[in-house]
Amino acid sequence: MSEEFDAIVIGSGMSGGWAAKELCERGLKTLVLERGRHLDHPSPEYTDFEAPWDMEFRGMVPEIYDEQGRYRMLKRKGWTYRNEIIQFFVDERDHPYSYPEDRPFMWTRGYQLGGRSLTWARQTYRWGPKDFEANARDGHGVDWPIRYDDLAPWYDHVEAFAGISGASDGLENLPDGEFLRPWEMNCAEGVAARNINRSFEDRRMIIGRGANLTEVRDVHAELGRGACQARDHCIRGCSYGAYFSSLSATLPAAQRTGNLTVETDSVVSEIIYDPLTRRATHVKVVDYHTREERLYSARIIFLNASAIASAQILLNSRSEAMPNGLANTSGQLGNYIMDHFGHAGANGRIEGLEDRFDFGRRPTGIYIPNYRHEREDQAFVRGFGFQGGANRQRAGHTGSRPGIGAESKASMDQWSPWVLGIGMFGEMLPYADNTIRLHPTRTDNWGIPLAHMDCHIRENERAMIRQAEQDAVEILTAAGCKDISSVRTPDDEHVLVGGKTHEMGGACMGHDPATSVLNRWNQAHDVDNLFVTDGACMSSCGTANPSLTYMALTARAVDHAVQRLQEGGL
Amino acid sequence: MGVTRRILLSTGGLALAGLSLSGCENRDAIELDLSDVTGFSVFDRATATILLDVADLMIPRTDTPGAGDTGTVLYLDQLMDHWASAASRAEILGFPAQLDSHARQSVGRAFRSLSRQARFRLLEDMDQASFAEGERPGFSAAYRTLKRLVFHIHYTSEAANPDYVAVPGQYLGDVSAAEFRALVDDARF
Ligand SMILES: Cc1cc2nc3c(=O)[nH]c(=O)nc-3n(C[C@H](O)[C@H](O)[C@H](O)COP(=O)(O)OP(=O)(O)OC[C@H]3O[C@@H](n4cnc5c(N)ncnc54)[C@H](O)[C@@H]3O)c2cc1C
Ligand code: SF4
Repeated sequence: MSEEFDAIVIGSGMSGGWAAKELCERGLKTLVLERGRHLDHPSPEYTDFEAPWDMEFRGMVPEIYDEQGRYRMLKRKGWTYRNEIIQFFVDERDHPYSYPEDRPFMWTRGYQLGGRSLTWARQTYRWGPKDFEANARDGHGVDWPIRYDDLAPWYDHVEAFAGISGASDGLENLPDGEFLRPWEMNCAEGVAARNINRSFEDRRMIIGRGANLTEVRDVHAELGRGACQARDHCIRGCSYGAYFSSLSATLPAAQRTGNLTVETDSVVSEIIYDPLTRRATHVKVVDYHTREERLYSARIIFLNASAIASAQILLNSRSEAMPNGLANTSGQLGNYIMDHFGHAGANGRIEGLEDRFDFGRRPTGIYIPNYRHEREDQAFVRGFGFQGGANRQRAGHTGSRPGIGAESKASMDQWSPWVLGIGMFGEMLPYADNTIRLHPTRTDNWGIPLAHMDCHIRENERAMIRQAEQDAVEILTAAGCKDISSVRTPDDEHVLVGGKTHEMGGACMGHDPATSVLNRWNQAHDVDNLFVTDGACMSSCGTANPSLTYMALTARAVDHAVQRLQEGGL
Repeated sequence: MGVTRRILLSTGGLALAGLSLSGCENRDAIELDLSDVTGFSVFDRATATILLDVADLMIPRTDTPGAGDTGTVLYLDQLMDHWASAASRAEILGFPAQLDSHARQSVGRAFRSLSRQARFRLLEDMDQASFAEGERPGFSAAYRTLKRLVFHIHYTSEAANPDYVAVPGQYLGDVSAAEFRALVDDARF
């Protein structure tokens, strides 16, 4: 049995939601195939209205999971290991992947309608001209076949719909957009920003840009989205629809066209290729519950299962014509896996504001964008930015340090001073031998070979980590901080790739079919009607959070694909 | 998977049943009035009595509520049933007996026969020693597990969070203490 559509989108997360919206709005009957369960919006699984005392287990993940070996990587990630959100994350015991024992890889996934657009931290920055030129300039990876100007109108397009708050900062490599009102810096950040901006020519501390509705415009209200209430519970799902997700924004927009069909619990195992027409003809799905196989066909296919999963699907789509995987005549499929990396940062006290407080929980922080592009006086190429923020709290209710009794309780009820903390986001170079491959023997419950990731950072990244620690201290000193303490991962300790959940690469864009998988329209060089517009397509990883760029690339690729389709070229 | 919301919400009521030891500033040796200690499903009365006392010594009622007021030990009892690993459960359940033998070794008397002041001193010494020792297993580890849980439960209770605002509605980055208080009160009620 095979059902026919104009377009199929594989994956309903951040980029798949955009593909569905843009395709449906252009009149194409579109099928979204999603391996995870259906979620409504707002969903009974959202926990945004639970006060700390209402939460099951007060937010602590059951210890019995440790005994059962569940959610090991999520626990390692740390801040997302919370009971009230664990339903939105994947347990690798149920959905295993593999890596060399001495080089673990962190793959944080969300298998549900909406994917990780539910749980993302909503930091949204355009990439700048230098980010798209970097590969060409220093020769790492393959040259991006597009430049910032190609994408600029599409950034405008996606920002207006998603709703991005931010200030117009006028920075050379962090282009401004059509922003909603920015969040305000708190008093400590204000002091620090003034001091930093006065002290350095190149370093700027700005308020974080984020996908929370500080204002509701018509385009948002039409979809029932409300204004952000400064609760910072976004990762639990937002009943107001006040942050951008597939569930609050793109899927409802696609739905209202009448052109959308969504099939959840549908695990895509492969894409079937016809060498005679050079076209992908069918998508094969294994039912999540029954494991029954189904085929769907369409004129165009958008692959948006997320970087690793999309590469895995392509590698598993082997045929006589393409024995090494679909769209892999270059041999580059699964290569150049990247992620941002942290591993250095600092914090320090800001004095003189002991009688000042902030009210509300702002769902963004501050940003110091990369200021180290193209510098000659450093031991590495590319660079890093910092994200962070200042806050003050009651001195701490932790039971993990000494102190009991009335005196200790009284001191815990005191407000701590303002503390400003910043952590690096480094650009990892695209290395062809940082890879995802299919495991030769192990398969999952749906008969699909496991993804096997083999990635590590090199000396360029180590040099950045060393430099970032120094810079962090320098920046906080200039900010006026006292009691600065810094951290850095030592050179001999493994740096977990995937730790920032910004996996990119695996099916990179490039000019040349011999060295890249996708062309300048995110279209497979080898397969005319196949488009990959999630993180897999990225030829380098920049330093800014990548999702806004996936959104813009997706909208641009759909526009092109539909034009080609209408001209009869697909 | 574990404690349902219904059960947890209902513990607010149950918690009050175990409070006979809390907040009595002039109390001396623990009176094992077992009939007062009710509502527990995992802890027997003797265990619950000691844990109620320990939690109260750790976080006493002052001008703000103490662990006894926030039903902390009753909640801990629920966690033992549905949340804790076998290791933590064994640590917590074994703690009163270990505490008792520690008291006998250190001061020659059962923990519960000591005055409140002496019990506090004993616990305070143990607190310092447990953290100084780092992550060593055994009694110190059991103490640290208990303390971590008692503090987490107490400080996530409603009574211990007078500044928590469910829906602030706005973010203001620079307000005075008086403005902060007024904003919180306005948003909470
Ligand atoms: C805690 C956290 C914080 C983050 N913060 C930020 C941030 O601040 N800014 C930022 O830019 N990014 C952030 N990210 C990253 C961001 O979430 C991802 O970049 C983004 O969601 C990727 O979009 P995607 O469409 O490629 O994948 P996803 O959103 O992961 O969606 C992929 C979808 O495909 C489905 N799928 C996978 N395999 C199959 C298959 N075989 N068959 C069918 N369906 C399949 C999945 O179930 C999922 O629904 C964060 C992520 C996390 C987890
Ligand atoms: S902070 Fe805003 S977007 Fe986040 S959960 Fe609250 S209302 Fe929703």
